[in-house]
Amino acid sequence: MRKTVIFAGEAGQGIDRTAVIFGKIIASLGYSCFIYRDYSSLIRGGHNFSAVTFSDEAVRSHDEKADVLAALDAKAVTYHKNSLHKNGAVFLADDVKREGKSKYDTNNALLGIAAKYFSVPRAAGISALKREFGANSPSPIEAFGFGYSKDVPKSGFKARKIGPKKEISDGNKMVSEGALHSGVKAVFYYPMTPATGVFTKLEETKNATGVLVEQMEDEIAAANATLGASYAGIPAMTGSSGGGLALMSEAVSFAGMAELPVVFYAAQRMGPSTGVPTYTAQGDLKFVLNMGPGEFPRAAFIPGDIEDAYRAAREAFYFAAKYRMPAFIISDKHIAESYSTHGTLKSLLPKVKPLTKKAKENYKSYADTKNGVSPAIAPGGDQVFRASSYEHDEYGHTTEDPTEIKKMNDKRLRKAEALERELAKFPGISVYGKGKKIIVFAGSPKGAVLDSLHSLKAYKAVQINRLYPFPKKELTNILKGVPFYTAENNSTAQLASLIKEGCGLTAKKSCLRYDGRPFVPADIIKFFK
Amino acid sequence: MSKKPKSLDTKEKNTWCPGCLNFTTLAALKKVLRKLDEEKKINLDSTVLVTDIGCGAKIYDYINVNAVYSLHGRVLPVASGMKAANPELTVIGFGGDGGTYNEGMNHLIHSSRRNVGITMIVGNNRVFALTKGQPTATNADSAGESIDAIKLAKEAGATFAARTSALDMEGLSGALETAITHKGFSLVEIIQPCLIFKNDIQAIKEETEKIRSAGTMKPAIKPVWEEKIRAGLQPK
Repeated sequence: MRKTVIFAGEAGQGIDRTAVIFGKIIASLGYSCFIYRDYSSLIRGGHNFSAVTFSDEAVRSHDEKADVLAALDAKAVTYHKNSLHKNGAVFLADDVKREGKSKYDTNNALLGIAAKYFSVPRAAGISALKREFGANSPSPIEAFGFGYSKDVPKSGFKARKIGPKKEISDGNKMVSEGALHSGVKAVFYYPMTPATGVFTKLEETKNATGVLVEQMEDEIAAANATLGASYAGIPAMTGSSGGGLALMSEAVSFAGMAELPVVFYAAQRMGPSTGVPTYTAQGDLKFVLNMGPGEFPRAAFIPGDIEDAYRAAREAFYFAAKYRMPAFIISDKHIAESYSTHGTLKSLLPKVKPLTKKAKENYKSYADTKNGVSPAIAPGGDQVFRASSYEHDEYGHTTEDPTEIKKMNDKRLRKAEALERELAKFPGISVYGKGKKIIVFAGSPKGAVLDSLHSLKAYKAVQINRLYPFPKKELTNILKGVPFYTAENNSTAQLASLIKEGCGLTAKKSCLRYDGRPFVPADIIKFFK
Repeated sequence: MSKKPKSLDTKEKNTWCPGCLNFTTLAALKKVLRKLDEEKKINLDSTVLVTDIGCGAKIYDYINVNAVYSLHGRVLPVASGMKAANPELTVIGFGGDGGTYNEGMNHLIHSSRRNVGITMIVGNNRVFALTKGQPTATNADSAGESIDAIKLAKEAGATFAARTSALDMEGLSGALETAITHKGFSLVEIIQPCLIFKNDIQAIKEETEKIRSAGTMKPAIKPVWEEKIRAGLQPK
């Protein structure tokens, strides 16, 4: 049974962390949980909240209606007056505020109350806090115990140990793990929400991992420095969101033309333009697929949740290096900054290795091979290595000759065909449920759609795992002659349009949400029922 | 062509205008690279030329070393990322006043500030020549003050910034040699006319004399970016 707790208050009150600790407590008992972070673009004050939804069944989304509101300030109560179920409980900071204690003491006491409300064993809470703050940190544990000692109404829910402890992560963390496991060696970035998390996570661990992580003067510099590092022969990544990504467009095209493998992390947020910085959307699907002037192949993977995000990162690095092209991880704020419990991270793809300097005599940087992929080297050996944004011959020397221009263009496009052939071995779509009608989605609507299927027996769900190369065949096979719909976090049904373009099939209707908020199951059920 | 028989020449057809002063720069750069390689101060195998686009950038095709033909104004970030990725490379950027001072000025300031260990060579002819002579930021005919990039780079923290002239092969070669062997960010600006769109040869001659009599500056020693950002990283 799904239960939801909302922790709410002002920015700077530790809402996010408190919600995550609650998630960790509940996950330590084996429950599955999903945590949605809702915060404004400000540093102190305002109104922030985190919704923690948990269940003994798989949870991939949060609910907007909560069973508990843990309010750190009075505003939170007003703001969430319609967010509670009929029998929902409200716990106020004032109930547990004590003289002479730190401000976070109140948060931990609220954790204690919330835990008690769901009959979480006291010991489970204490152990989780010990793991969080260290065993020699008495005050959070004391505060939790204080909250736990309070009288609370009965919720009718008895949390107990139902399975092994589950891990909790956010999407940005998963992408950073995926990058590390892929062998990333250099990362250049410029901060922009919600992409920043990946880079700060890599920055925090750089001394131990040996990865070069550096903030540049702007996104243009970040992208071009990443290309420079890629030319030097090491796996490299950059990325941004919205406008920051737009500034990288020319470098994407450069990577396509010069055939330099670079991974671009594209974390969408609500646009257009500055848009709504800390809120989510899928408004950049077509933009990412078309970033950069000219025609050149790219790879674009679109994860639907944090486990997918890890896999997408592994795929992006692997295929960027193998086919010498830009590769995208298309994420969004909802995947990047929401937390959820997850299983073991898995990918069958090998790590990307730095390039060798060795090459045979008469090395050609752009050898015109059968599948279009030219063996790359790193500079430093006895052969000259060229990379060019200008059209070039096989050696990398400039050309404006019509035969050469066409030949090199064809060579690059053959890489797309080769990539498509290889990717045919990887599932381009994933199918969930058994109904006849189909809900198609790509990316973060996954959680809400899958968590709705049990109420929508007439439907199955089809997830698209990559947007380039688009899995036309697989999708056509399943959609042809079947009424299908899309669920998208944008206002113009971009995914439906991509399906039309790729498969020639038209969606009957699209369930769209574009108020900066992600789908919750209630949206999907209401639309499709 | 791709083999490196220690000849720095390529077979590519040179498309600069007859008499263009870029030929002087090309000759000077080749001479300096050859000399530094022979003196083992650099290794030609580990030398990378990163060019902008436009007339001067065609040098990409005319020297037989590793090279990247980058984007307009983006030589410095490409070169910086490369140097950070592999500090053993000798990275030489090459562009014009349009790319370096107009389109990519932000990067010049930040590269100076960071003191990244690369050299930026700028052929300053005060016009966007390949697009038929529009004024750049160093052109007195443009709206606004013309920029003195040498002053600006020094102010921003560049540890070597020198103005030379394409009419002074010796001074130019000396500046290039100092710049390429300097540990830290070095900017070499070469003043030159554009024979087609800004042929102010008399003024350049006078300026060349002034530069010559002023003598050369000494590079300053400061920590370099690529070492700073790599410090503490455990190689894996």
